[in-house]
Amino acid sequence: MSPSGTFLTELQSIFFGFGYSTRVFGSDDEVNQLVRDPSYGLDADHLRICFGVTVVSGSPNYAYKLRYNISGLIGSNEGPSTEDVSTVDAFFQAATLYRPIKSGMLVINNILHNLIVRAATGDNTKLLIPVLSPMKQEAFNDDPLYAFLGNSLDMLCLLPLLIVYLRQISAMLTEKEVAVYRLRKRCARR
Amino acid sequence: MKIMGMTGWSYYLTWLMRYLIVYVVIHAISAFILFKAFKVIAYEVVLITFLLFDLVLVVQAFFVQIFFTKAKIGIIVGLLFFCVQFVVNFVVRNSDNPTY
Repeated sequence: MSPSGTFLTELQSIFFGFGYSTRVFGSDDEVNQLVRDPSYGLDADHLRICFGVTVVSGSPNYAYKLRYNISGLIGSNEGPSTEDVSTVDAFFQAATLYRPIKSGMLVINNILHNLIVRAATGDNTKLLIPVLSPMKQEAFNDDPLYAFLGNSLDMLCLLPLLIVYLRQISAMLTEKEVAVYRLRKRCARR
Repeated sequence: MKIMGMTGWSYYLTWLMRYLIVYVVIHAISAFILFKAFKVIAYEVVLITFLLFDLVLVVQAFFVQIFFTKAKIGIIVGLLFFCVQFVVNFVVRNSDNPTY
Protein backbone atom coordinates (compact mmCIF):
# COMPACT_ATOMS: atom_id res chain seq x y z
CA MET A 1 0.00 0.00 0.00
CA SER A 2 1.04 3.54 -0.53
CA PRO A 3 0.66 5.77 2.53
CA SER A 4 -0.74 8.59 0.39
CA GLY A 5 -4.29 7.17 0.51
CA THR A 6 -6.78 8.89 2.76
CA PHE A 7 -8.70 5.68 3.50
CA LEU A 8 -5.65 3.65 4.35
CA THR A 9 -6.43 3.08 8.04
CA GLU A 10 -9.96 1.91 7.29
CA LEU A 11 -8.69 -0.42 4.60
CA GLN A 12 -6.14 -1.90 6.98
CA SER A 13 -8.79 -2.55 9.62
CA ILE A 14 -11.09 -4.21 7.04
CA PHE A 15 -8.33 -6.51 5.84
CA PHE A 16 -7.40 -7.25 9.46
CA GLY A 17 -11.05 -8.25 10.00
CA PHE A 18 -10.73 -10.71 7.09
CA GLY A 19 -7.69 -12.24 8.79
CA TYR A 20 -4.98 -10.65 6.64
CA SER A 21 -1.94 -8.98 8.14
CA THR A 22 -1.14 -5.73 6.36
CA ARG A 23 2.00 -3.81 5.70
CA VAL A 24 2.47 -0.29 4.36
CA PHE A 25 5.05 0.38 1.66
CA GLY A 26 6.28 3.78 0.56
CA SER A 27 6.09 2.97 -3.16
CA ASP A 28 5.73 0.20 -5.73
CA ASP A 29 9.51 0.00 -5.95
CA GLU A 30 9.73 -1.06 -2.31
CA VAL A 31 7.28 -3.90 -3.06
CA ASN A 32 9.31 -4.93 -6.11
CA GLN A 33 12.48 -4.84 -4.05
CA LEU A 34 10.95 -7.11 -1.41
CA VAL A 35 9.63 -9.57 -3.97
CA ARG A 36 13.01 -9.81 -5.69
CA ASP A 37 14.87 -10.29 -2.41
CA PRO A 38 16.60 -13.72 -2.22
CA SER A 39 15.12 -14.32 1.23
CA TYR A 40 11.56 -13.48 0.08
CA GLY A 41 9.10 -15.82 1.79
CA LEU A 42 11.82 -17.43 3.89
CA ASP A 43 11.86 -15.38 7.10
CA ALA A 44 9.56 -13.18 9.15
CA ASP A 45 10.93 -9.93 7.68
CA HIS A 46 10.22 -11.09 4.13
CA LEU A 47 6.72 -12.52 4.34
CA ARG A 48 4.99 -13.46 1.11
CA ILE A 49 2.54 -10.96 -0.29
CA CYS A 50 -0.92 -12.19 -1.25
CA PHE A 51 -2.11 -8.99 -2.85
CA GLY A 52 -1.52 -5.28 -2.63
CA VAL A 53 -3.38 -2.04 -3.16
CA THR A 54 -1.46 0.90 -4.57
CA VAL A 55 -3.21 4.19 -4.03
CA VAL A 56 -2.08 6.23 -7.02
CA SER A 57 -3.88 9.44 -6.12
CA GLY A 58 -6.23 10.63 -3.42
CA SER A 59 -8.96 13.29 -3.36
CA PRO A 60 -10.46 14.55 -5.63
CA ASN A 61 -9.29 12.19 -8.41
CA TYR A 62 -9.08 8.84 -6.71
CA ALA A 63 -7.07 6.20 -8.48
CA TYR A 64 -5.70 2.88 -7.33
CA LYS A 65 -4.04 -0.25 -8.64
CA LEU A 66 -4.52 -3.81 -7.47
CA ARG A 67 -1.53 -6.11 -7.41
CA TYR A 68 -1.96 -9.86 -7.12
CA ASN A 69 0.51 -12.57 -6.43
CA ILE A 70 -0.20 -14.85 -9.38
CA SER A 71 2.74 -17.22 -8.87
CA GLY A 72 1.81 -20.61 -10.23
CA LEU A 73 -1.28 -19.28 -11.95
CA ILE A 74 0.29 -18.02 -15.15
CA GLY A 75 -1.84 -19.00 -18.11
CA SER A 76 -4.88 -19.82 -16.02
CA ASN A 77 -6.63 -16.60 -17.04
CA GLU A 78 -6.32 -17.21 -20.76
CA GLY A 79 -9.49 -17.32 -22.77
CA PRO A 80 -10.45 -19.95 -25.32
CA SER A 81 -8.34 -20.19 -28.45
CA THR A 82 -9.93 -18.54 -31.44
CA GLU A 83 -7.28 -19.54 -33.95
CA ASP A 84 -8.25 -23.09 -34.84
CA VAL A 85 -12.00 -23.26 -34.53
CA SER A 86 -14.29 -20.36 -35.28
CA THR A 87 -16.15 -19.48 -32.12
CA VAL A 88 -19.88 -19.94 -31.76
CA ASP A 89 -22.48 -18.07 -29.84
CA ALA A 90 -21.93 -19.48 -26.35
CA PHE A 91 -24.53 -20.09 -23.68
CA PHE A 92 -24.32 -18.32 -20.36
CA GLN A 93 -21.39 -19.72 -18.44
CA ALA A 94 -21.72 -19.25 -14.72
CA ALA A 95 -18.14 -20.38 -14.08
CA THR A 96 -16.76 -17.51 -16.13
CA LEU A 97 -18.90 -15.02 -14.28
CA TYR A 98 -18.10 -16.34 -10.82
CA ARG A 99 -14.35 -16.62 -11.35
CA PRO A 100 -13.56 -12.95 -10.57
CA ILE A 101 -15.88 -13.09 -7.54
CA LYS A 102 -14.31 -16.24 -6.13
CA SER A 103 -10.80 -14.93 -6.66
CA GLY A 104 -11.65 -11.98 -4.40
CA MET A 105 -10.90 -9.37 -7.04
CA LEU A 106 -14.40 -7.92 -7.11
CA VAL A 107 -14.62 -8.00 -3.30
CA ILE A 108 -11.53 -5.81 -2.96
CA ASN A 109 -12.78 -3.61 -5.77
CA ASN A 110 -16.09 -3.17 -4.02
CA ILE A 111 -14.47 -2.40 -0.66
CA LEU A 112 -12.24 0.23 -2.26
CA HIS A 113 -15.10 1.83 -4.17
CA ASN A 114 -17.16 2.04 -1.00
CA LEU A 115 -14.26 3.60 0.88
CA ILE A 116 -13.69 6.11 -1.90
CA VAL A 117 -17.36 7.08 -1.97
CA ARG A 118 -17.40 7.52 1.78
CA ALA A 119 -14.16 9.55 1.74
CA ALA A 120 -15.38 11.71 -1.13
CA THR A 121 -18.83 12.41 0.30
CA GLY A 122 -17.83 12.48 3.97
CA ASP A 123 -20.81 10.23 4.75
CA ASN A 124 -19.93 6.97 6.48
CA THR A 125 -23.35 5.45 5.85
CA LYS A 126 -23.01 5.49 2.05
CA LEU A 127 -23.08 2.04 0.54
CA LEU A 128 -22.46 0.84 -2.99
CA ILE A 129 -24.20 -2.42 -3.78
CA PRO A 130 -22.64 -4.11 -6.78
CA VAL A 131 -24.87 -5.84 -9.29
CA LEU A 132 -23.37 -8.44 -11.56
CA SER A 133 -24.93 -9.19 -14.88
CA PRO A 134 -23.57 -11.13 -17.84
CA MET A 135 -22.92 -9.09 -20.96
CA LYS A 136 -23.31 -10.66 -24.34
CA GLN A 137 -20.83 -9.84 -27.03
CA GLU A 138 -20.48 -10.82 -30.63
CA ALA A 139 -18.72 -14.12 -31.24
CA PHE A 140 -15.39 -13.89 -33.00
CA ASN A 141 -15.41 -15.12 -36.57
CA ASP A 142 -12.27 -15.42 -38.58
CA ASP A 143 -12.85 -13.42 -41.73
CA PRO A 144 -10.27 -14.15 -44.44
CA LEU A 145 -11.74 -11.57 -46.85
CA TYR A 146 -8.75 -9.21 -46.61
CA ALA A 147 -6.30 -12.07 -47.15
CA PHE A 148 -8.19 -13.10 -50.30
CA LEU A 149 -8.34 -9.51 -51.50
CA GLY A 150 -4.65 -9.02 -50.80
CA ASN A 151 -3.76 -12.16 -52.74
CA SER A 152 -5.74 -10.94 -55.74
CA LEU A 153 -4.65 -7.31 -55.58
CA ASP A 154 -0.92 -8.03 -55.63
CA MET A 155 -1.43 -8.93 -59.29
CA LEU A 156 -2.52 -5.35 -59.89
CA CYS A 157 0.67 -4.13 -58.25
CA LEU A 158 2.92 -6.44 -60.25
CA LEU A 159 1.41 -6.40 -63.72
CA PRO A 160 2.06 -2.69 -64.47
CA LEU A 161 5.73 -3.35 -63.76
CA LEU A 162 5.68 -5.76 -66.66
CA ILE A 163 5.51 -2.77 -69.00
CA VAL A 164 8.71 -1.23 -67.65
CA TYR A 165 10.40 -4.63 -67.48
CA LEU A 166 9.57 -5.51 -71.10
CA ARG A 167 10.45 -2.03 -72.24
CA GLN A 168 13.88 -2.42 -70.72
CA ILE A 169 14.42 -5.76 -72.45
CA SER A 170 13.17 -4.26 -75.70
CA ALA A 171 15.41 -1.20 -75.44
CA MET A 172 18.50 -3.22 -74.61
CA LEU A 173 17.88 -5.75 -77.37
CA THR A 174 17.05 -3.09 -79.94
CA GLU A 175 20.35 -1.41 -79.15
CA LYS A 176 22.07 -4.76 -79.50
CA GLU A 177 20.21 -5.45 -82.72
CA VAL A 178 21.29 -2.13 -84.21
CA ALA A 179 24.88 -2.70 -83.10
CA VAL A 180 24.92 -6.19 -84.64
CA TYR A 181 23.35 -4.84 -87.85
CA ARG A 182 25.98 -2.09 -88.15
CA LEU A 183 28.77 -4.51 -87.45
CA ARG A 184 27.52 -6.87 -90.15
CA LYS A 185 27.20 -3.97 -92.57
CA ARG A 186 30.78 -2.91 -91.90
CA CYS A 187 32.01 -6.45 -92.31
CA ALA A 188 30.12 -6.73 -95.62
CA ARG A 189 31.74 -3.53 -96.91
CA ARG A 190 35.20 -4.83 -96.15
CA MET B 1 30.23 -0.39 -77.76
CA LYS B 2 32.96 -2.56 -76.38
CA ILE B 3 34.93 -1.73 -79.52
CA MET B 4 34.58 1.93 -78.61
CA GLY B 5 36.08 1.19 -75.19
CA MET B 6 33.00 1.00 -73.00
CA THR B 7 33.38 -1.41 -70.10
CA GLY B 8 30.66 -3.89 -69.16
CA TRP B 9 30.23 -2.22 -65.76
CA SER B 10 29.46 1.22 -67.16
CA TYR B 11 27.14 -0.26 -69.79
CA TYR B 12 25.03 -2.15 -67.26
CA LEU B 13 25.23 0.66 -64.70
CA THR B 14 23.68 3.13 -67.13
CA TRP B 15 20.79 0.78 -67.85
CA LEU B 16 20.37 0.10 -64.15
CA MET B 17 20.31 3.81 -63.29
CA ARG B 18 17.97 4.68 -66.13
CA TYR B 19 15.33 2.10 -65.23
CA LEU B 20 15.80 2.49 -61.50
CA ILE B 21 14.85 6.15 -61.87
CA VAL B 22 11.67 5.09 -63.69
CA TYR B 23 10.85 2.56 -60.98
CA VAL B 24 11.60 5.02 -58.18
CA VAL B 25 9.18 7.56 -59.64
CA ILE B 26 6.44 4.95 -60.09
CA HIS B 27 6.91 3.44 -56.66
CA ALA B 28 7.34 6.68 -54.76
CA ILE B 29 3.78 7.46 -55.88
CA SER B 30 2.31 3.98 -55.39
CA ALA B 31 4.00 3.59 -51.98
CA PHE B 32 2.47 6.91 -50.96
CA ILE B 33 -0.99 5.69 -52.02
CA LEU B 34 -0.53 2.43 -50.08
CA PHE B 35 0.85 4.33 -47.10
CA LYS B 36 -2.28 6.47 -47.04
CA ALA B 37 -4.54 3.41 -47.44
CA PHE B 38 -2.81 1.28 -44.78
CA LYS B 39 -1.93 3.73 -42.04
CA VAL B 40 -0.18 1.19 -39.82
CA ILE B 41 2.72 0.58 -42.17
CA ALA B 42 5.59 3.05 -42.60
CA TYR B 43 6.15 4.74 -45.98
CA GLU B 44 9.84 3.74 -46.06
CA VAL B 45 8.97 0.07 -45.54
CA VAL B 46 6.60 0.02 -48.52
CA LEU B 47 9.02 1.97 -50.71
CA ILE B 48 12.02 -0.22 -49.88
CA THR B 49 9.99 -3.39 -50.46
CA PHE B 50 8.99 -2.13 -53.89
CA LEU B 51 12.51 -0.98 -54.74
CA LEU B 52 13.98 -4.36 -53.85
CA PHE B 53 11.54 -5.99 -56.24
CA ASP B 54 12.44 -3.38 -58.88
CA LEU B 55 16.12 -4.26 -58.54
CA VAL B 56 15.21 -7.88 -59.16
CA LEU B 57 13.27 -6.91 -62.29
CA VAL B 58 16.15 -4.86 -63.68
CA VAL B 59 18.63 -7.66 -63.08
CA GLN B 60 16.18 -10.17 -64.54
CA ALA B 61 15.95 -8.06 -67.69
CA PHE B 62 19.78 -8.09 -67.88
CA PHE B 63 19.65 -11.87 -67.59
CA VAL B 64 17.02 -12.36 -70.30
CA GLN B 65 18.58 -10.03 -72.88
CA ILE B 66 21.90 -11.90 -72.78
CA PHE B 67 20.47 -14.88 -74.68
CA PHE B 68 18.93 -12.96 -77.61
CA THR B 69 19.81 -10.52 -80.35
CA LYS B 70 16.26 -10.03 -81.66
CA ALA B 71 14.05 -7.68 -79.62
CA LYS B 72 10.75 -9.40 -80.46
CA ILE B 73 11.89 -12.84 -79.34
CA GLY B 74 13.48 -11.36 -76.24
CA ILE B 75 10.23 -9.64 -75.27
CA ILE B 76 8.20 -12.83 -75.71
CA VAL B 77 10.63 -14.94 -73.69
CA GLY B 78 10.89 -12.22 -71.02
CA LEU B 79 7.12 -12.10 -70.75
CA LEU B 80 6.90 -15.89 -70.47
CA PHE B 81 9.68 -15.93 -67.88
CA PHE B 82 7.84 -13.33 -65.81
CA CYS B 83 4.51 -15.17 -66.12
CA VAL B 84 6.03 -18.55 -65.22
CA GLN B 85 7.50 -17.04 -62.05
CA PHE B 86 4.15 -15.51 -61.23
CA VAL B 87 2.34 -18.82 -61.71
CA VAL B 88 4.94 -20.67 -59.60
CA ASN B 89 4.51 -18.07 -56.87
CA PHE B 90 0.74 -18.45 -57.10
CA VAL B 91 0.90 -22.25 -56.84
CA VAL B 92 3.46 -22.41 -54.04
CA ARG B 93 1.90 -19.59 -52.04
CA ASN B 94 0.79 -20.58 -48.56
CA SER B 95 -2.09 -18.40 -47.40
CA ASP B 96 -1.39 -19.30 -43.75
CA ASN B 97 1.87 -17.42 -43.93
CA PRO B 98 1.10 -13.76 -44.63
CA THR B 99 4.78 -12.84 -45.05
CA TYR B 100 5.23 -15.15 -48.00
